[in-house]
Amino acid sequence: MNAPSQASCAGTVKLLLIAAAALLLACNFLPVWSTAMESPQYHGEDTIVVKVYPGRVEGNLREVETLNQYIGVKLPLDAPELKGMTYAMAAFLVLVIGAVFLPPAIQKHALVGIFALMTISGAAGLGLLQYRLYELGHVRTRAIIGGVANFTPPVVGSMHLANFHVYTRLMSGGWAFAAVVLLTGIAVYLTHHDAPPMPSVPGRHHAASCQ
Amino acid sequence: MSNVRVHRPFLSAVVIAAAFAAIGSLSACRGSHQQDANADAARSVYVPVGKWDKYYAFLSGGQAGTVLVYGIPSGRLIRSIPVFEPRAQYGYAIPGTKTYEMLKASGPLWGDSHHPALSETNGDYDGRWLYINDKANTRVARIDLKRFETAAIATIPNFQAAHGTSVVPPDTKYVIVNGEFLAEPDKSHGVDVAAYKAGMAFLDPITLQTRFEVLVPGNCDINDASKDGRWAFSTDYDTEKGLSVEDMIRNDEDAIAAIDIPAAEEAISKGEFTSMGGTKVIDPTRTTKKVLYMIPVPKNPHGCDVSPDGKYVAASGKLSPTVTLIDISKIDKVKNLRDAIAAQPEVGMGPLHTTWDGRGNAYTSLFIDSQIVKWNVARAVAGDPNYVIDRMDVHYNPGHTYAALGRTRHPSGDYLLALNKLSKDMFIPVGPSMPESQELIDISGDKMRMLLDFPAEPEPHDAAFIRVSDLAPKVAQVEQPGPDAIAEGKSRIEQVGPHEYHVYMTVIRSKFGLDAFTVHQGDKVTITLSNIETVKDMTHGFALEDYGINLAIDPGQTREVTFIADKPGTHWYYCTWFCSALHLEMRGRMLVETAGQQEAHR
Ligand SMILES: [Cu+2]
Repeated sequence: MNAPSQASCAGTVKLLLIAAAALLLACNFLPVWSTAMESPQYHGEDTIVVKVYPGRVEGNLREVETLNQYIGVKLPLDAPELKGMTYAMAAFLVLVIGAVFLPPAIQKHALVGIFALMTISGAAGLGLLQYRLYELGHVRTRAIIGGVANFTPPVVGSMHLANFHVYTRLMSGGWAFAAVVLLTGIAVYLTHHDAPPMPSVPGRHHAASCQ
Repeated sequence: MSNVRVHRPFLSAVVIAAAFAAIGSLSACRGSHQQDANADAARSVYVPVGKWDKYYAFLSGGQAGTVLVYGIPSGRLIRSIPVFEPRAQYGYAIPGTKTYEMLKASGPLWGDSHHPALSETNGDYDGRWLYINDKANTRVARIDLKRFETAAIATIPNFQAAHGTSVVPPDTKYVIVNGEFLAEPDKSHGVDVAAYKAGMAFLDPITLQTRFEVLVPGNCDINDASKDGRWAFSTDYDTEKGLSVEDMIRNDEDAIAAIDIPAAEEAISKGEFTSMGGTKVIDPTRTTKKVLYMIPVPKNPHGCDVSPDGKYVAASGKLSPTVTLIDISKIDKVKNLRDAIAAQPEVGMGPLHTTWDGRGNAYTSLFIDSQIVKWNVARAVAGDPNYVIDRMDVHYNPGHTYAALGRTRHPSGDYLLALNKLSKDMFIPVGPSMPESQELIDISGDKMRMLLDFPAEPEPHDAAFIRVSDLAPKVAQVEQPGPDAIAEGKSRIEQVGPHEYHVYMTVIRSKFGLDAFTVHQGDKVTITLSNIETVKDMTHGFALEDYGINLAIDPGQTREVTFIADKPGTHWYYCTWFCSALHLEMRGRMLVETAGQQEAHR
């Protein structure tokens, strides 16, 4: 077996980036985040589930709106970042695919930029989500029932709201994006450092480097 | 020597005390056995909070023209489905609605429902339709089991008193309905006794249109069909064609009428029929191929039940203490139809109906003995004198009895219902008229075991069970809005004619689409309401003050009512189904202006 050549290392990076691109594509069809609302009247198949996808929100929104008459929260169903997510995913897809075809010397730096952009966007997305959740429980209108104080649902976790237990979690789309960031990070690592040491094979020399 | 002297009186006192103690402990023992049995029975029927029953039991509602839906084994009343009678509660057959038009077009706004029959596919219940007769007005209805709503009602031409009602297995080719009373056909209001006829009607299972009828000498009481769909059977208790009790019981023998369905179809295709009352009527004396076989049975039989293996049809004796088992395979083979009788076991006094457990046992209700008798079919046929296995007292005077899935090819053999005609002292008195009593019996063992009694408003005649696991998944709870549904935000009033308005409103917690609308006195008003809820059990009502209108609109459904706004003034409409914390606020106003008020506005 030959030691990994420069070409095969570049091949690994290419594979990583193609995998990242595929995941980004998938992200557009996968739910990023969801909340489930459970109460004695809404349990099992009747649990109210709302899923956030890039560009859209799915679930029994009519029921959420109906119940919201009593609590009067601000539902961010037309928040600009929903569309923003779609554009960001598309932009990342273009960047990642573009990076595949860059010459190694430029690719190396481009990947750092893409990685940084993704990390910042991801963090900003989570921050924005937390802000919207805060806003949801604090910028309240037409509350017609008493007894519900202002609240902030966690991005991931659970809380009690009126007669509901509210559960929030990251969904496959969110995890897929995290994987994209991770894959891009590995690509950055591989293009900048020696590859991680391979198990040594007696009598064989191997230089594991992408340079 | 002992100084202690035992006095005789003391001794006898001890003996008497001991005897009392022994008797006491014996009866205490018996009492505790009864308690154990009660506890066992309670455990057998207890359905924990939030859990479901094993069966839907459809019981005919008798004089209420309804079908009652109970859960088995709990005996909980879950629904009553209005069929032949208006029911404001569900907005059923309220004047100005489609269901009113359907019911009114078929006859009176009242019915007498007796025999629920479930549709079958491959000889087992398929959970699509439930058919129910109206004896009083010679009608039959089809209930859609997706919605538990009456979907179609039809009048059966030519006959009077639609009694026995069954489906033809294995795939519900026809619904068969008996005409019980002798009368002149074609509802010609004739009083010519010589022209009186009775017979069996074969209905299309969807449209309920009578495809053809077969006249039967005498009358047709209870019916059933063979499992292969070849034969339709009916008991005939008036072969005398008697018009008084005395005449109806004059002869010692009456009959089971067996109609060869393919032969009848052939007669129709050959044109061997008379057109009457909009249908084709076969006189079986005038067909080239034999259509009707009259098998003699003891006088005035009642129940007519085909065994699950399809071998026998059983005529329950009523006035005779016997059940006559007829070997179906012999009917068209024997020279003398008496030779088709496989057995005639004596079972007790007043046998009315027979049902089956799928393990070779039959259960017959004994009206006079007030019992259910369990007997073995094979032993009775083999002439073994020990065919009776068990008897159980029921309270009181059972009519129909139904073992779970007993009319299919696969009875489940676990529960049996006795539908008793009298309850007497069984329930707390509610005036001189008492509810009917149903008793649920465990038939899974050798000995029957009484589990539960539960009352019903008068008066269930017969029952049909279907497994919850077979039906519940097919039941709609939130419907997809149809093409006529009003979209959110599209509530409005439209003038559709010089004196005609159409109001469109959505309904959702806790608001009608319009807070108010105005029409003029004498206008024709149509109100269409779409429930745009998306969660189950969120039914809204629409009651209109002083107009006698109440609708019930289930999630996803659209309902409509048309009326003349003849009463001027303010008429609030409000939601009649408690739906939300703002239920009481869920209302609006119909303003009916007089001509003078209109002038003032101009
Ligand atoms: Cu309501």
